[in-house]
Amino acid sequence: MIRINSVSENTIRLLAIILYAVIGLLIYSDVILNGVFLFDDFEYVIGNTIIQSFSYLSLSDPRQIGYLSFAFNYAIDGENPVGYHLVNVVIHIINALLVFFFIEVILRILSSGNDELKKRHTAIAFFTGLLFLVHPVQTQAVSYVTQRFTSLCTLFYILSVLLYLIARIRLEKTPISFGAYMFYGLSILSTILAMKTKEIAFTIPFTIAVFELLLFKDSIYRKRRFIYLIPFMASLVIIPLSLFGPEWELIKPGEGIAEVVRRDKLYDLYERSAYEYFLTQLRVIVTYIRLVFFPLSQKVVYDFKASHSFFELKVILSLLFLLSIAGCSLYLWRKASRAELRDVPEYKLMSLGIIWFFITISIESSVIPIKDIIFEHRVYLPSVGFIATCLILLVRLSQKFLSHGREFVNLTILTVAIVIPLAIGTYVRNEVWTDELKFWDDVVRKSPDKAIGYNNRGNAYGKLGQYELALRDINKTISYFPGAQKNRMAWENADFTPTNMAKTYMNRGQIYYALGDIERAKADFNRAKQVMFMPMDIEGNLKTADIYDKQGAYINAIAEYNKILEWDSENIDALNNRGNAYSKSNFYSEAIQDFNKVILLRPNFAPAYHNRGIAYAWANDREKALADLKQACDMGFKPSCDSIDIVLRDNMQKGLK
Amino acid sequence: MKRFVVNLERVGRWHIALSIFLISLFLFLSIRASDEYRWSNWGFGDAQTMLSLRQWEEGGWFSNYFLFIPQGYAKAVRLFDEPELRQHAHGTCPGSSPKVGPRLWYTHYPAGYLIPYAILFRIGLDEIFYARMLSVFFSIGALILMYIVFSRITSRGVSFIAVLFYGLSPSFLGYADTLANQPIDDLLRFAFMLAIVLSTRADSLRQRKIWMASAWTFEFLLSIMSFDSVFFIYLWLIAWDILEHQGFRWKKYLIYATAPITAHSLQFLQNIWYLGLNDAIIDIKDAFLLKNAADASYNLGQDRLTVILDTVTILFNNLYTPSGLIVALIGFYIVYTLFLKDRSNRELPQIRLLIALFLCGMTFILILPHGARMPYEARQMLPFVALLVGSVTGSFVEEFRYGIHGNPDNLEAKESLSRKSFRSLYLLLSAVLLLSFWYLFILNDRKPVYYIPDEKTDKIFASEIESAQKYDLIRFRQLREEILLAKEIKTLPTAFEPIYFNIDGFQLFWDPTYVPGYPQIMPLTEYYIGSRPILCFNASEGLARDLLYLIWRSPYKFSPVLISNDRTYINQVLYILLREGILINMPSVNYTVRGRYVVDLTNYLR
Repeated sequence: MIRINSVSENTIRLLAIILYAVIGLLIYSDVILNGVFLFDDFEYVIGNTIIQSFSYLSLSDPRQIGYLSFAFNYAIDGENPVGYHLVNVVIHIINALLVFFFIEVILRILSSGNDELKKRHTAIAFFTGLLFLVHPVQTQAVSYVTQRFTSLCTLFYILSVLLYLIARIRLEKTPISFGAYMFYGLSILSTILAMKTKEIAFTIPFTIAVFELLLFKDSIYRKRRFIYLIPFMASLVIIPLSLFGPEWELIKPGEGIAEVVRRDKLYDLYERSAYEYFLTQLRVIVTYIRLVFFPLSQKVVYDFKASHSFFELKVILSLLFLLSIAGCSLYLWRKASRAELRDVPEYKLMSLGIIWFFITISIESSVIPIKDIIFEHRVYLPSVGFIATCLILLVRLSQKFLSHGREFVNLTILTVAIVIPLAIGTYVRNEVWTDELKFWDDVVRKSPDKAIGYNNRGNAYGKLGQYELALRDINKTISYFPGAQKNRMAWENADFTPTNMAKTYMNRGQIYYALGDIERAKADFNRAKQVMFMPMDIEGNLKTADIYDKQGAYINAIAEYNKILEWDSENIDALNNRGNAYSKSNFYSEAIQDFNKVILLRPNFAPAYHNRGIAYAWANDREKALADLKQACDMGFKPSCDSIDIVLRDNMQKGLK
Repeated sequence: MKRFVVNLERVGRWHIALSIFLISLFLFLSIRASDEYRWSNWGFGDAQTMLSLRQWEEGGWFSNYFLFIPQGYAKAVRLFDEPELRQHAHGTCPGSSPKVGPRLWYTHYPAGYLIPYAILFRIGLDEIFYARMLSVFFSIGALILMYIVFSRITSRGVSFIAVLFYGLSPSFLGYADTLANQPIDDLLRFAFMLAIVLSTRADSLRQRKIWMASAWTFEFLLSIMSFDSVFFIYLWLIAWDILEHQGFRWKKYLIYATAPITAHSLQFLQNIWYLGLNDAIIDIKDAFLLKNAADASYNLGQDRLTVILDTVTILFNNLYTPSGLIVALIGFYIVYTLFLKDRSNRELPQIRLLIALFLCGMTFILILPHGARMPYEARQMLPFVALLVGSVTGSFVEEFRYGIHGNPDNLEAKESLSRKSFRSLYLLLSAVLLLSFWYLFILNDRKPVYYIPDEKTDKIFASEIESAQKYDLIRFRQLREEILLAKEIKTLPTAFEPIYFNIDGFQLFWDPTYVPGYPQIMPLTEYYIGSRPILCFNASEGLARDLLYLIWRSPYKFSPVLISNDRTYINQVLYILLREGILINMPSVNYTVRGRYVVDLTNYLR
């Protein structure tokens, strides 16, 4: 008969490492061997120029560490997806191991070194890690290459909390210990790495604070122990600095897709309703909890309608449900104080699991609006807490209903009974991640009202040369455009950005082109151009260009002005400003051409004469410079009068620059 | 583990940390130096140094007056110092010495720093890698000396953090392998500072004298190699006496003043040797007034005080961005010293030491405000800022330790609640400040100013122009084209020393309007063409005229090589030469190199 006491902790640890690796590789084998790049992978990974050389990576990117890991993959694998998927799976396996060690350490602290419970707790930790490993809800974070941001951030997240706990345990035993401070320092480092991987790491200091508060109540340091939290609290500046740094002119903006994503985030933050997002997220969180309990009907793209009022029944019910779960956490913690000694750690861990869930989900599911309302990978990190809570709940229930005295066997039977179906579920779910057409077909089938499914399935058909089917799907996508354009800020229309719509027209144009219908192809290419440079974007482009101009990134500014001028070739502001940007980039003849056009369009516009004068001066054409500056000065433009003196003093280049 | 920790303690944790850091830094800089196409932030100057070294090696040190001569080598180059050809002389330039320049040799800076590199050339190590490695040795040596100095006057921990900041700062990394005065200036500056510190703490009179004599020697050597830190170290000499309560020892200061005076007098004699007394005086006066901001026209209407304040802003921005955080660090350290610092604590520096270093750095700015705007002059303030960063970081660690474990010197001491609360507040705010500071420090721009991208980069960025970084890449892609052209032309055989006459062949210039009609070629291009002179022209008439003058005047044989993108220019030049009766017949052998016409006229001239 197998008894828990007959298995040593180290055996379980060793078993965990081997078993996790074997099971993890097995259930994700299909993805490792046959997985493809999908969805955003074409922007974040294989189409992403910044990962193609380490020298292109900009440290200022908010998700620098994630991009760095892709750059390593690119250096080794190029555009072969196998290496990327393998790394993702390995990260997942490491995460499962970290979950195991993490739960084990928490239980050790909660049991205050009670040796009798040690093995039971190691077993609980082992099965928590195993459930985390095989749960199908994790597939999106693992099989979707781009979501390495989530899994890698989770790795650093759990590691930083775990290292902190280890450091604190040691510091309680030996107040001044080099080893303890080494763990402490590594914990801070891991926190910083997590924060440079994904924004969900913002909550690490709060999580650590909660653990400090609840787990080290009887610390020898009493209130002084909170000093340990200070460096973590200070680390809260990293994410705001990364996100807003370029706006505050503290750091240079990043490169390529990283910068686009950063700006999209700020756009969501400023333009979308935090209140509506919060109301919607109450329901979304309930869905996440449902997925942890019953991972059925998983979707990549959910057709999830936003909530607009607190008084919607679903919102109220969701709030009540979540409050009751939060209440359970409080109840369990209080109950622990009256429970038998052996039950205390488990009650407390259940309570902590719920707290963990709410804290870790709070960045993506609270008041910080993100255009995509729901994604399964967002439950990856929070699930750690819930899985632990659920497992203990099951263990305790099993104690009531199964035979007594065979804890380990009961636990094994119970977990295996859950693990096997979950593992099969994961393997089956992974099938969609191995084929682009299957993937988007799954989206269309499960969310038939979402245009994104049709659009991408159409593209997938297009790649396979099945143009008729491709046209059918893309036409369906385009049928959504009129409604979306009417209400651009609606949550449901978040994907209908000018860029995406233009891409759709471009794709259809290419299909027409392939079919030999040149006229329709041309018409679509023109539509793409029109959609891309909608008049409503001119103001935005001018602002963007202005920011670039102030940062000295003149070529970027010129690119923005070009966009406006392609739409409206006589836009005075764009012409005049582009002329200045050209001047500053030493392209004087181009600058002068722009100012000539401005003067032609608006002869009384004095700044244009001034700017042209400056351009002439920089180009060392003194006479023309003086003539223009004098003209602008005569028109009452004072800076020109000052500039004349400088030109006259024969310091044209140095002075005016 | 315990034994390991004990061993660590014995050697000194900070020494080990420093060794690891310096070895890593040395390896990094060595690997970087081995890349032929990766230049320091003073890249154009490095190329000019390589040209000068070639001149010294081929023409002899004496015949070059021991002066810097940033020009490709050919014996006939000496003729560029004649008034008719001075438009091609790239030494003293008309911008900084309008009445004397342009001249072939450069007279505004001590050229002593060339000597160590010239010795390398003399012993046969004439590749740029060796020269860069010599600079790397100087730079790493400077960091070691800095650590020793700061360890003596503060603590090892604070010194390590200061060195870490210094060694990772863009101002250090950008110039660590430069072939100019910066690395050796740094080395001698810290050597002097150390010698002065040790002289006041010497156990015996003999030791004291040795250290004082060493300091004088370091000061003299520094003065013949650089202007930059001369003012810094002189003020350090006085400031250290004040810090150590040694009084104002004016006789000592007079003795130490003889070192720079002697060195700079020697430099002036050099200039007289080359320019003659009259021109040497005009030249040095004009150059000084310009950099000193006494020349109002150069100040763009600003008064001198505004020029200085602007310079301070520029210098601090070159040192660290956003420089406002340095001000915040100063504020924090003052607050810490006033309200929290234990008076008996000698590990963290006193405010007056920081003030002394600040003033030492300021002297250069006050005397030569325009000169201090050069990006590498941020090093004047680096010792101050590095020690400040070390101090605030150290203060945080110290208070953190006190906060958790109490004062190790007085464990029984009771602290008031207000002090405890203030400490917690200080810890929190300084943690935020330090984290922001170090985080932004890591993000400070360390991208190379001179970099020649490889072809892979071209492919990636061929279709995208999105950012300033890529804009730089495009500029450097152009430079690469020029360099590849130069390297291919270098391989073409010539009968004698080649002199290249360029008209629209090379298209990237260091100064397109150096003298109207005569652009100045990029020194990098001259270096890659084999350290040979490239004369640039805007018009074929000018080219023909200067070529004729050189042919008539030069006692040395040389091979004139025409380079142009446009056949018409070549034909125009040949037509003029034919008209003047210089050309025997029309050249029949032409090279086409990367789309440019290259015509060697050696065998076609009368």
